[in-house]
Amino acid sequence: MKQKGLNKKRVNASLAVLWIGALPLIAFMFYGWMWPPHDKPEFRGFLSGSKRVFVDQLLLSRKDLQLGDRVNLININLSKEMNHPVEKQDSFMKASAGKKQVYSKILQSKLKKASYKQHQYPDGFIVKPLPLK
Amino acid sequence: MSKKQQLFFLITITLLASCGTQRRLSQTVQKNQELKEYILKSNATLSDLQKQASEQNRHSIADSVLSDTIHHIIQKLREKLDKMGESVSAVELLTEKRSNFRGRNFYTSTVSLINRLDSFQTASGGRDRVYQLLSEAVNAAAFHKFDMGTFFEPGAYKIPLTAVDKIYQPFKPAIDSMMRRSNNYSDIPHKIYMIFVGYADASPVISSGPLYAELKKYLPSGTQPGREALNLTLSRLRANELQRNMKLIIAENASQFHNSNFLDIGYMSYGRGEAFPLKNITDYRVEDERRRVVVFYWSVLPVVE
Repeated sequence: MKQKGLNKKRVNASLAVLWIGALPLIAFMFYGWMWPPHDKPEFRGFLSGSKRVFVDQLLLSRKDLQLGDRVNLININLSKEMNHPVEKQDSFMKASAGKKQVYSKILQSKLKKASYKQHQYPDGFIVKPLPLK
Repeated sequence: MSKKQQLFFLITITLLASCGTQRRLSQTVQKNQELKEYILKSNATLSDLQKQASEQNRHSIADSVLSDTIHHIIQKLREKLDKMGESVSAVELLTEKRSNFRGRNFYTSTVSLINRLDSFQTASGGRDRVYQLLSEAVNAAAFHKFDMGTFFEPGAYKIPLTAVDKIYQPFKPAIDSMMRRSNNYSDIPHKIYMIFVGYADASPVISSGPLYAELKKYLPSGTQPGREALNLTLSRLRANELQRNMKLIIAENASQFHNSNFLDIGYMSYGRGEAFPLKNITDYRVEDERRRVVVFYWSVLPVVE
């Protein structure tokens, strides 16, 4: 019986600890559900006024990365990184801030282009004067 | 009746008959001369028109279908003139002998040729109108390449029914000009030609995308179409789509055309795929809005049987 009582106390304590740990997680999840990441101010700046922008319009193409046809180059780089992950990690961390800036710029231009296209072809076509040049 | 009287009667009859023959002969000679001049003048006009049409076609300003139609009409008119020229030559030969204009000879052989000349001369008013309309059509800037183009977004070719008005408004000046021209020539048989030429840029069509599946329906089954074939189909669909909408617009405005008995409207659309739409532009890119366009040509031409 004594052993049983001890167990009960320990169980209750464990449960309390678990709930203490779980509650902030639930709160965090709830926050995330109510305010999804794209509603955060830094994303809101990009997406406002870009209604009906679809994900496929935001996907990057070779042209956006200015890589032309050099797909092999990406593969080579990727395989190098896979072979030497530790060596590359530091430089990757250093470059990540710069990359973030580049990607945010690309995203901005993508959104701008997508919004412009929708504005330019509201019905999929537009009638306008034939170009002279 | 005395012998004197009989002689007088005979001389009078002979003189009268002779005067009639002479009158016929001189009238025919004059008519023949007039027709010769008319044929020469008409041939010169047609040569000029053919030269102008060829010039526009050589510089790729005009649509080839319209250009060919104009050449065909000119050819037909030339053939008619040539036939008449043969009749004129035949009559000229007949005028060399007075006997051909006398009595039975005249009514058996000569008169039918002269009647042909007469009917040709009578119809000259209508023929002049045909030349006038043809001249207006050829002299029009590149057989009326409309200065507005219908540009499509990448991979798109459909025009929603709700957007018909967006075509009608910019195309209204062309439609009004067509109506005006047609109504000015409501006295002769004529046809309005509307040609839609579609183009596409050289963007690839992703084989897993819905556009690929849609375009493939219009191509022979069991084949793997390449980019050029797909873009050619896309350009055709764009041209067809504009043609379909233009038909609706014209049908709605049909009451504004006068004398529909003499009027025929012909629509034609075709695609030129990745070909460059305008010769004056030299810096076309692979992905280029200026290449995703439907160019519209129109002309009002006489109908020559």
